[in-house]
Amino acid sequence: MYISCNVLKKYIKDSDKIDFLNVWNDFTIRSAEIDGIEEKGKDINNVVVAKIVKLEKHKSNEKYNVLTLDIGYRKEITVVSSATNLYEGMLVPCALQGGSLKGISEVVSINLDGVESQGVLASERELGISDSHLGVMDLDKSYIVGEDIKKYIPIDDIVIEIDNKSLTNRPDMWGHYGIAREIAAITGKELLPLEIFDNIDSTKPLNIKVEDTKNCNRYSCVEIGNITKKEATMEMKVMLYYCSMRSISLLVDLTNYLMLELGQPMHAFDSKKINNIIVKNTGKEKIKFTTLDGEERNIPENTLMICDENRPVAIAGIMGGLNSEIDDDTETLILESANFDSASVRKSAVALGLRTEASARYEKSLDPNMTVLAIKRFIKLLMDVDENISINSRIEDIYTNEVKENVVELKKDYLKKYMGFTLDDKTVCDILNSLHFKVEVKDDKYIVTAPTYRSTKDITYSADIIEEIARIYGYNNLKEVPLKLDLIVREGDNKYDLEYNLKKSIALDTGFSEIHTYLWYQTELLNKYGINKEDNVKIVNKKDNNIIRDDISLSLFEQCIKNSKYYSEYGIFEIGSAITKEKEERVLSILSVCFKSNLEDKYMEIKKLIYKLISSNKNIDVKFKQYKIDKKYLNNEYTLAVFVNDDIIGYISVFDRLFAKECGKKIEIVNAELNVEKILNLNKQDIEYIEPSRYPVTTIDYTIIMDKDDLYNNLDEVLKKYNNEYLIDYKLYDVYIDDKKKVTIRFTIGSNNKTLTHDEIQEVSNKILEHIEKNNYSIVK
Amino acid sequence: MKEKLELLKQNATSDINNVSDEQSLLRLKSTYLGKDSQIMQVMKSMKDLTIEEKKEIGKLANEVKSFIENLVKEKMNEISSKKENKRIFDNTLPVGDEIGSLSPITIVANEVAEVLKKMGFMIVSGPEMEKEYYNFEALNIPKNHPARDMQDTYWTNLGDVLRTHTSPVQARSMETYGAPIRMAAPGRCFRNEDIDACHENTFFQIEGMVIDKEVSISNLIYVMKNILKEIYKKDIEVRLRPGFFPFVEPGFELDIKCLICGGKGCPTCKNSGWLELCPCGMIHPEVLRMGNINPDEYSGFAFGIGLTRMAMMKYKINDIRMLNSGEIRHLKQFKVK
Ligand SMILES: [Zn+2]
Repeated sequence: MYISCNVLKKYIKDSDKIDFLNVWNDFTIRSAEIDGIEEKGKDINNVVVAKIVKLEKHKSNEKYNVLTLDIGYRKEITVVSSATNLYEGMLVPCALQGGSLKGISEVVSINLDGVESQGVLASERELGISDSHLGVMDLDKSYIVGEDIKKYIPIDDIVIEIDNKSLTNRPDMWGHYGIAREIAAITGKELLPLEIFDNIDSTKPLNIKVEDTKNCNRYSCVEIGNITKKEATMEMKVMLYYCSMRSISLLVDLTNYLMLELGQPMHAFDSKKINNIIVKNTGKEKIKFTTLDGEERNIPENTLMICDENRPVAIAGIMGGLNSEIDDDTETLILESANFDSASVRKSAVALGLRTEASARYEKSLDPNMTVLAIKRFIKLLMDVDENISINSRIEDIYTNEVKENVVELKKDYLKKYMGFTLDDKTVCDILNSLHFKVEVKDDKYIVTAPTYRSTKDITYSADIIEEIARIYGYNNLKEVPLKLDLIVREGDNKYDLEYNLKKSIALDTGFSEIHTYLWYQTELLNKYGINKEDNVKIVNKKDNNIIRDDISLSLFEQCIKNSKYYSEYGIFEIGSAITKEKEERVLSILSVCFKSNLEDKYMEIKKLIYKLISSNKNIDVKFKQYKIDKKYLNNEYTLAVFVNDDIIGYISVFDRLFAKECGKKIEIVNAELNVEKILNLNKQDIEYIEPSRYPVTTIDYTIIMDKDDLYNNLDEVLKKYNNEYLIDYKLYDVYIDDKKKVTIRFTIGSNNKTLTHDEIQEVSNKILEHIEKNNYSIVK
Repeated sequence: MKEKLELLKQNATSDINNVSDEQSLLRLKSTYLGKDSQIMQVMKSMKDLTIEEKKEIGKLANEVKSFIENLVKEKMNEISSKKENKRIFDNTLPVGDEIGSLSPITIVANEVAEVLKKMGFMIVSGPEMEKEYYNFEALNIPKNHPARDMQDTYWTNLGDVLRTHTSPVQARSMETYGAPIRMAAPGRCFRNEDIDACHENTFFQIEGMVIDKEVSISNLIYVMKNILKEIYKKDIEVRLRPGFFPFVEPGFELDIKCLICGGKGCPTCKNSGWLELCPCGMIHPEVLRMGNINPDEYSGFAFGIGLTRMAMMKYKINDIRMLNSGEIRHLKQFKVK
């Protein structure tokens, strides 16, 4: 929203004492955010009112006119111009030598086909006061020749752009008068009342009916006739332009001006085009309606509309209809100044896809108490231009949902608690009074009455009053006070720490890169591989890629396709949410992309990593078992489930060739997934110290011959079954492969109670050998 | 005799200094310290001297002997260490490349989390797919509230939302932990937005919340300033201005003096000299009430810091899409520290 400081100045007493360039810093930290400050007119200099005394065709170039201009003070200059709307006696703005216009940084005397041109005539666009470039401005004949143009046209101004979003909760600031009220409070100045016309004699009623009393809070209107003037004042036109609106006609400009001034949207119907007024809801009916921008629109159900006896004539609070629009011939109008329910307007505007300056304001919950004031102000401004208008009716006013001043109690100790220190009664009253709040001071509390324009939604709680006090007091004037010491230890859910530790360990251990992938699948990828995720949770208002993932590894795979263009061996990982209809879980996924020839190494590296991650975090033993995971992209030949306490907490596997080949011909992808929630819920095991035997132990190595495709796990199952009180443990020592797989196991033999004799040791080792051979393994002798 | 010993000391010093191999050194050792060495002869011949001479010469002889012994020992160390240290591998090969990387978001999130932990905040988390109640109602955003379309929400077919902010964790924590509480919750959020260099539909925030008896705006200012000071490792100028969020009252926007231009005005700060960093405010009494905390007894404040934005500022990343691109060409650089 744009704010013209020229307009603000009119509402504040002693406004010449306010620095309108710098007051906005205070405004920003006390009221709302500023998007920009622009000084208008700085690039327009030395432009005077000039009179065309003589107009002749240029002798050698018929495109040009040669003008003799009276520039006042008995001086005449010659100007060559190609404009076509010139005539003798016309008053024009002329930039003199050394002056400047928009697009001309310095006017100099130039020779045009033999004639010296000593100035430049300006259009409205060149003065920066409209987009019109139709011709040289035809100035009002009352202007005095030789005077600076800025004396008559308020070209110089400071225009502020206020961030609309920061006004979401301040319906009172959606117009210049509200902003002026705020500036007056900040600067300690007095806000002046608006001049209005209050002598309406007519008692003629207008036939108005409000049927939907829920969504129409107030409907006020009046009929004004005998309108003869067509154009707004130059001053108003410039203001509208500076506030980013287009000047259209006197009546339209006036309604817009009122909206910019008071924040009250208004609408003018051509009186002869409508017959009585009914405010009602379209209900279930679906209709088409052409708005005054010429567009035919499908009106959604339950839209509040203004109708006459026969047809709708406006969409309430959003836009009027073409059928009742005022035009050049309008002499009598019905002026509407109404207040509609914010939610209803918002809903309709969204459904229509039509957001207007009016609807934006209604959505903020405007104060219904200003509708009549706005009408009286409109009449006053119209009369200033068109003094012979007639007020044909009384002001018709149906006020269905009255907004009263909110009264809020503020306890003094509550205020102190929020501020962190005590404010005296005078400071509190001064601040609230400057904002036009009434305050009654009691021993332990204040009874605060908010004006109606702050009572529509903004001021309800004592915390709201505290905000008013604190912001005007100035947040920069508040002390900084540390929190009181609190020695309660609370751990939170530990999930963050676990996730961070896991990520850091992986990056350090493997050299892999953490990435982030989206919560949804690329539908295209699913289709390509025929992966069915139709039962997953879906996002209903997302156009494409709207299936939420229940499996992170697939999202990471998608990233591998991209990364494999630049790297052949690398790893990526992510901890993210996987979501099913039943639950949301945090899952760690790791993908290690490698050459086929390195598959075994890379696989074992991941296996080792998984072991370390869990045991280092929880000191729990991890077991790996062969398993089948139901995922289309995995090659289950290599799948191991990760077991802790008989519960599967993840897996390690290798991607199916069909998928891995996307990353390269000789490329394989090792994949591991861990359920972070399950790791989180594992109880950390204490280390149980076992004192080593005081007696010597003996180690014996046996090399066992296995078939090449036989798995160590099978051998391990066999060895595990053997129990002997003197066999302390056994460990894999070496694997050597030639025509067979030769696995060396180191057995540790000993006792806690005595030193074993040679014979005892021999006996144990014989039994081990016997057990191994009984299970169909042979031993290298 | 004195002169003889001095000469002996000098000769031994120069001889021992001149050898470089073990064998020659051993030979010299036997020459100067062996049974038939001069020093031993001197010591043997002392029995013919007077008591006073014995004292004097004996002391000197012992000194010279231990001097030569030391010399031999040092030389022996020198020779043997030279032998062991012969270069057999190239220790100048580079290291460091094998360290992996964390997402820039993870790095800044952890920096902020560490600061908050030091200040006594516990770190908690919440789901990315959130109940409508926690994302809106519990935060004083009823149905039809304009804030609901300000935040263009993704809705699921279960009637849930992808959380539009980390603030639902406030409501959840009030229910789980009650008051008093200091908590922070980093996490991922989603908005239904078209993606370009400055906009993402997926981004990270960290939420913070303090509730206790007598928590004031002055506390909020202190805590926020100190958090930022710690994060940016310098005294930065901050300002508080009104901001509207339904779940706080009063609500603030916290700005910091632009880190790029120092407040003079530049494109990053849209020429205002300030960067909008962190919405915050005193928790709305209704929000406390809905979290089963009595607003007459307790007050508190909450804040949200945009981690995605912070990471972009910190590493001067100018295209937000890089963060979710999954491209390790970019991401590899953010090595674990
Ligand atoms: Zn800057």
